[in-house]
Amino acid sequence: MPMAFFTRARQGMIQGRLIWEVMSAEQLFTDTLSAAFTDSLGLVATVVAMFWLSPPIAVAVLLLAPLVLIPADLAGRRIRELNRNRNRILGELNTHISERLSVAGALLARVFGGQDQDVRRFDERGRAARRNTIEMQMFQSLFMGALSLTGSLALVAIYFFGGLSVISHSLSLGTLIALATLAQRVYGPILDLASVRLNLAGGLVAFERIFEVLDKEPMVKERPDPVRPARISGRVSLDGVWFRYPSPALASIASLEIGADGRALKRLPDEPSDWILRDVSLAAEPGMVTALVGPTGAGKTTLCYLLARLYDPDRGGVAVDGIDVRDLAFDILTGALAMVPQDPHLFHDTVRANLRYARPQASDEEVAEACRKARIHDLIDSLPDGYETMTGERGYRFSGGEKQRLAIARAILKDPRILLLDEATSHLDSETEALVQEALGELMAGRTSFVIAHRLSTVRAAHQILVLDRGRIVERGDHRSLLRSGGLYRQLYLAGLEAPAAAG
Amino acid sequence: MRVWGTFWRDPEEADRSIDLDLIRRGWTFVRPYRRTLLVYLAATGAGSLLQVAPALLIRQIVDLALPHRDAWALGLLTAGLVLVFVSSSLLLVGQRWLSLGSAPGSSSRSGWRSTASSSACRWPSSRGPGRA
Repeated sequence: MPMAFFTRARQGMIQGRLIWEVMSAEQLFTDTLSAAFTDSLGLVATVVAMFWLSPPIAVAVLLLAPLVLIPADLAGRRIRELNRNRNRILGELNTHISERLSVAGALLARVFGGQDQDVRRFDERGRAARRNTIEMQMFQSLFMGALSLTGSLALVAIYFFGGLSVISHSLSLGTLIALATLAQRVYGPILDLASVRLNLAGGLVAFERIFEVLDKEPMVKERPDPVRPARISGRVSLDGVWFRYPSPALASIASLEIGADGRALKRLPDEPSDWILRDVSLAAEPGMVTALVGPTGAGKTTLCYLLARLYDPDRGGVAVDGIDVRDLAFDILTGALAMVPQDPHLFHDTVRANLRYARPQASDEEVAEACRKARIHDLIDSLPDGYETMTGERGYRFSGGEKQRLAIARAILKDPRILLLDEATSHLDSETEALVQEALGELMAGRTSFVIAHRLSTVRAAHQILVLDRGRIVERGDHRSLLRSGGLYRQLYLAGLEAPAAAG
Repeated sequence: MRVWGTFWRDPEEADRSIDLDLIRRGWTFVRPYRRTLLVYLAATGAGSLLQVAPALLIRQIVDLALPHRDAWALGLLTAGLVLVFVSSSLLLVGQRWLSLGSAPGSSSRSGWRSTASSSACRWPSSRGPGRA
């Protein structure tokens, strides 16, 4: 799936698709269809046995069936409506809890004093859930009552009419007891068979939703016989690249997105974005540092996405070592590059497992060496559990600077030829910043690096600076020449490159 | 009762038509396990027929064994009841094992899950049996 899919689709919906829909689809075969078979056979056997024992009583038992089917249908419709409401309310409660009881959510509520408002909103939703549950329970009781009443009426009818027949010697006592026993096995299967269609439809909806994911055409495809060069030196070029983000309809799945009414969308817009990159060409030799500078929305991050082949350009091409990335094998390309984002993601796992994500076969010594180069080894070593320390949800146990150095260590461990780096805009303290800069120096040495630069020191050290504005490279050169030309770069420089305006 | 399960479904599902193509496509995941499925259906069929037997045996106990004070017939008929109940219980366990423990249930489920997961998370070179 393209990156846009993960930014648009609701996480809970993707999880639901992988867990609940699969279970629901499975039940279609293991439960619904097999139950229909069992119920049909059981019902036929029971009714045949009843007709064999006493046709009039068998007819009387079957005539009572609507007494259970009609209330079940009415109660079922209402319960399904109530259940949908309950799911919506519980979903809201779930989101409320997971957002408010996360590190970031709790911090926001504490700082903005929103606890009272949050508690009130939670309370309202809790009350709505309670009202809904009570109504559901009542309708369930109605349904169970109808079923129980019909079963009891059938038993009364059997004992009354059957009893009269026993008195008149037209029916044996044993037959009467057998009929009463069999009658208890009639209404359950009748109700179950009446629900087969609905269960089948539900199971098929699950199938449809699973196939929706399976059938989604990938936007970035590996060609059947990709090029697999023995080694990548890291020469990168872009030639006349035009790019715009694909339409939501192409990138995502409507049923995985939630509308303002809290329900899954039926359709997605079919319009792509405006042009994000316009006729971009560049070349970077192995070992060269290229700084990408420009205002917000200039296309710097998108450029990095294209280099990593998270998307393909609409026009023009991206090449590594002269080979178009669309011709390269995926594993060769991913093996050749690493990305260090501004806010690196850490899995809720040990430090060692997070680092080994880049190279699972790395030895403990190699992991430690990468951390030494990233200036983070001493810190990890000082922790009680060392490399076995859990990073916490999204790595919250570590500060921004520490997470970035861990991400740098992860990239060092991967040893890529091409490095895509988004410098942190957050203000690190001077000591941490010095450590991060040292770590970055180790990481970039000898690699083709593209840096979305926010710091003057990085820009100055770059071999070439590309200034982007509204998708075009408007200036290129080194620090001095660009300053002399007096263009956008000079403005950005005077505004201070660290400013968010330069972050893009 | 399985009707209970329908109460938790989305109301819109009740109005949907049955798409046979979808069933056919879903069947492709189960097809490798069709022999197991047949054994499962045979076991459930036998189980549902056995449900009728206790009523008929009780009838014989009340109408034949008790009025004639026939202890031998009573013993045979109650032994028959025990046999029916034990067989039903064993069939029930067998059915559950066939539907969950072996195939097709768990196998097709894990197949769908890993295929859907790889479709969502990976680049498309490693597509599973989704196109089967």
